[in-house]
Amino acid sequence: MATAGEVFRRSLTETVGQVCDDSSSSSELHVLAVDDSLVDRKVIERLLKISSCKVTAVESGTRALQYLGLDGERASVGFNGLKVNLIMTDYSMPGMTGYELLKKIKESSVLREIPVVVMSSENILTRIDRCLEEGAEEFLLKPVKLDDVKRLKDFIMKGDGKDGGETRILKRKQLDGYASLSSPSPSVACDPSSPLMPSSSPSARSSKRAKLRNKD
Amino acid sequence: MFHQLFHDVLETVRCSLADGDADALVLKKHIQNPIPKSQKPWDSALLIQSINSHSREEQTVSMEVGQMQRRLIEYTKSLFMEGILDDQFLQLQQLQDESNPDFVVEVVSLFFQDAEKLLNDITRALDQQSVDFTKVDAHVHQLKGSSASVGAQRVKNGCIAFRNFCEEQNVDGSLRCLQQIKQEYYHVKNKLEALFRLEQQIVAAGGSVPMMELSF
Repeated sequence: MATAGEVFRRSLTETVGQVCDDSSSSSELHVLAVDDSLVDRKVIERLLKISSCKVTAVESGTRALQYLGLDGERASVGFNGLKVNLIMTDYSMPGMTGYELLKKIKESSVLREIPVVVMSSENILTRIDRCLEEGAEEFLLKPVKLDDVKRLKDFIMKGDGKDGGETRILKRKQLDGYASLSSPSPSVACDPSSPLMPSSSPSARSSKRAKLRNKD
Repeated sequence: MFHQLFHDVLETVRCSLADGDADALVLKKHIQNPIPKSQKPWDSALLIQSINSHSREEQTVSMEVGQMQRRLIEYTKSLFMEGILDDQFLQLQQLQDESNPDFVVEVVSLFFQDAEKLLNDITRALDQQSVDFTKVDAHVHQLKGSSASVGAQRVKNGCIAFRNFCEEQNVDGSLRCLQQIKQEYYHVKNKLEALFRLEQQIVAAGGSVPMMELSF
């Protein structure tokens, strides 16, 4: 069975083959950002542009599906724009939540290969678990930082399934750090260079989940 | 002999002047093209006087810019020390560059618009005969998100506290919290507007806005 990474690499090659008018930037990731907050859209757009990504920012899950050509009526017309390599969506949105959008994307045979990252300002474990189980590549705590985007970009470009498991555990460790922060001291920061967990076995992951749950 | 000494002084001055300095160019010409002895010292003396005051002016301006830059740094530092701004504000500043010189101002302006609308919405919602706390909570959640995205720490923390009152369906607590948040919002708005004014003054005087460092 092909890993997600291998399949993604294949589709990236297809992208390079398909793009005709923008050949100079075919190696750039095209990210679809979905967020109902105008402030957050502006920030994520800038974060992505500074990281040399093309960005399309939309305000809702419905708009996102329209853009992706999956809104029922327009599906036959095809994609509205350039092929999307990554979807970053806010979790809490009116109408269709980020989770519902994630589900729709993963249920679509056309779109399920596109990696989806969920962003949320709330560190709720059940929410994180649900998203990861539904097939989200990553769960980012808002506000999203430049380091998050850089790390995400590297991960997507490498497209290694094994790394994905370890990255999720690393993110959980960081979330652990966030959860224990109570003072507004600016000098306290999560250490991005903390070593990745060597084992990504299911038992290690579930014991980690249990530890985090107890902490809350 | 006097003339030779004078000539040496002029040479020193000439060498130390910026090439583009208009007075310097005239002075160079004077030194290079011999004029009758009787005339040269007077003209040169007047020129030197003009150059002196010109460079003193430049010195004053660069001292002013330096002072303004130091003032800006101290002011920004104080906002962090008081917990009015947090690390996210620095993150935004890092996203600003020559290609996007007004990024921070733009994002913060969006935040102001967003916040004022939300504060109005919350006020109206709490004013109803029967308060719809789901609605109030949704507005507060949005405000929490956008204040977090710009680093307005106290506003964000106020929203976190507010949501507890929403959960309890506590109208009095909510009203008190709203007052608190409004105060914090106007406080940070004033501070940021003052900060942006300082930046504008520096740029208008020909200086560049200094980047804040995290090491304080």
